[in-house]
Amino acid sequence: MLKVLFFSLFFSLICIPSYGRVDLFLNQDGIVNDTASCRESRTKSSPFSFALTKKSESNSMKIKIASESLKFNYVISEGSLVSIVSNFTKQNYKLIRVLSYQGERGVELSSELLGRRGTIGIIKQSNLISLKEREISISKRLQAFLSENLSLENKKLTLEITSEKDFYLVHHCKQEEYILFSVYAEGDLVRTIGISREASNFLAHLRYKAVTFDNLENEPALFKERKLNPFSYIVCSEKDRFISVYDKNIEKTFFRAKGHEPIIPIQTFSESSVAKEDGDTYKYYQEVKFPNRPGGRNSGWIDRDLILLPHECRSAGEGNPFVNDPDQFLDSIFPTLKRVVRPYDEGARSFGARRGGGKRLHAGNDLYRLKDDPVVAVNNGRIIRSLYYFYLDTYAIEVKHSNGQVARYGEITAQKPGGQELSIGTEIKRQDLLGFVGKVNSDCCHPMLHFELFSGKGAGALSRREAKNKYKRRWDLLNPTNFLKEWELNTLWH
Amino acid sequence: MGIKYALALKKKTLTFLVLILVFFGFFFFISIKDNPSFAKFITYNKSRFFSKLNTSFTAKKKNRPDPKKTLKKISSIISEASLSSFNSLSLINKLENLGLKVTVAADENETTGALKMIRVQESFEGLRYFHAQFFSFSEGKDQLQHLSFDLKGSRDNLKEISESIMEQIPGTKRLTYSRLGYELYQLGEDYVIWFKLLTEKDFVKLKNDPFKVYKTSDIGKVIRVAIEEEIH
Repeated sequence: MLKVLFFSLFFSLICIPSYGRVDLFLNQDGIVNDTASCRESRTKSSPFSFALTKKSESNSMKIKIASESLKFNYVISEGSLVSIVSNFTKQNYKLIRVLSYQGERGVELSSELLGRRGTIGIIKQSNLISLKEREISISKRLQAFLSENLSLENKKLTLEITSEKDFYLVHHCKQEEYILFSVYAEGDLVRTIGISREASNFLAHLRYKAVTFDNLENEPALFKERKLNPFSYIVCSEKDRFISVYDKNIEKTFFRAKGHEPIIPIQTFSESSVAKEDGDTYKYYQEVKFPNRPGGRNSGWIDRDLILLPHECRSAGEGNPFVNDPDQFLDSIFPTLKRVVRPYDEGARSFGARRGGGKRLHAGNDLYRLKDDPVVAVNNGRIIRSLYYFYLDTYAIEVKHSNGQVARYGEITAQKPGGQELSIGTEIKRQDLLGFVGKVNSDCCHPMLHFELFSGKGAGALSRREAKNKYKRRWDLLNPTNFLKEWELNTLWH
Repeated sequence: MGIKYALALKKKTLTFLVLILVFFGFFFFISIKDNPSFAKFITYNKSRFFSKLNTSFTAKKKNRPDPKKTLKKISSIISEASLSSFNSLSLINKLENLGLKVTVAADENETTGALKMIRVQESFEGLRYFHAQFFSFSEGKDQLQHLSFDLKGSRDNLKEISESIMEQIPGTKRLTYSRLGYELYQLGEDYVIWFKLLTEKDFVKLKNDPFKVYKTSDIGKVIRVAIEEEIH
């Protein structure tokens, strides 16, 4: 009996047919050329899903997903591509990450917080459908990219996830998994491509065919370089090379990390690195955390010489320079989704309230809300200073808005919206989630957003100890009170 | 008689088993000796064995920090932090004079200027995650906005640590708020200094911190210290 089982298993293994040539492998960095070592496997679980409204809600184009904290909802448009992060504790709900979104039709100025690429939220399982045997439409930009790289004539292309019976086909190349998609040109199967699970810049271009693609949103760039926070250390090795991340004894490889991956060095109270003999010398290893690897193991020991800042790493280059082009002007909205719980123009919360026994004056408005409530952008703009330490265990970010004003969103938490860092140069839209309401560690005050506004006519640091004004701020500081009152009228409250 | 017979039988069985093992072992060795993975296996284990013998792999002995020495060094670094003469250059000099490797980065943009960040790459004598932020101005000046580090400590010695640091800081200082595991002082007109024992709540809150990584083993054993501009 065992023999029969053994032989049937053996023959079934050697008889599994390979799906054939994969014409293009795409990961976060673009086209992968070194694919000689790729091996094929099959997976039963759906790598991605589409978010669709239930039949009973078919008039609506929007799907609500709850934030991880369950304190507020996001809304995503029908047809958005999502990946499942994990099961949620409540049955029939899933924790998902939005990979592509359908745009903002119908939610241009709504009271709802838009879910965007990278947003993590909780969705009803009944709102998810698998990609299997469903036609996927692609953006014009991806269409042009594939036509050029697959030498296809300019025919209308669609994709379909490649599957066999109950299985989806996956290729493993080095450390990455590529999900196979069949490319159809006007209905004829022409090529097969593999897209990495992590290639969010490509996945953002996929939509459920039943929902039209055109004119819904500005297509995201296929390759978007972002300037990192200058103190984000990176793995300094060539971008397409992998390095080993070891256990503490530098014997076992936990996983392999890619060149230029952001890392945070972990320090202990004494010697933080270990030495290992390397020929005549010693090689030092330090423990680091990989903050962009959610779930599973995300820390280990790497060669200390590879821990560098982007500007110190020759292979990292400078990235795209920050371009300060103004966006379309829109009326600003209030920076919180719900009304404040205390008036922001009274007492210590108001602009100009006395500080330090009257030697200093309050340079902003304190908008009291509940801890971890969303803080949103008052207008379109760009991040000019990413999260930095602000005051008593809280953080701040600075945004240049499209109307020229500069806002400092202070006393927020370190939690990254959608799990992704809003790095310098990130373009943001009005009502985009910037962070969450924080609370200072001295128990002095209610959780709040400390909101400062500047006209943008000045230049240089916003805080100035030696400034002639009592606010100790840059000369173009504005009193935000009347702006906030006006913006309240433009806001549809949650 | 019975026992003797049983022993003889056991002996025979054992000899038989040993012979079988030797026989199969010999053929197994012949079949795999040229296999490269086997050769690798032998070399790997050899190297592991010898590495243990000659201790070529050395997880360095952890230095036991002398808390008094550490506090003295820290105080020498931060004692002038609240003074207007204190700038990034003076901090870098102080750190380098202690033999520490300092890294400087500037987060610069046209609109809000440069935020200079200074870090010490390695921990030293009971102190870790040294981080300072300075706002820079066009005239070449800069001002401290935030300076922080971690010290090894506990609920019991927080007071002792805070007092010995505060003793070294000149100028006016006033305890403005305290509770178990937390103390906040006003330093002159423009700065505050706080001492906070890492709690379980902090551990959760700091999971997303952009610069520091905490482990559960740090809870109750780390005192976070920060000098900050009264920015609020």
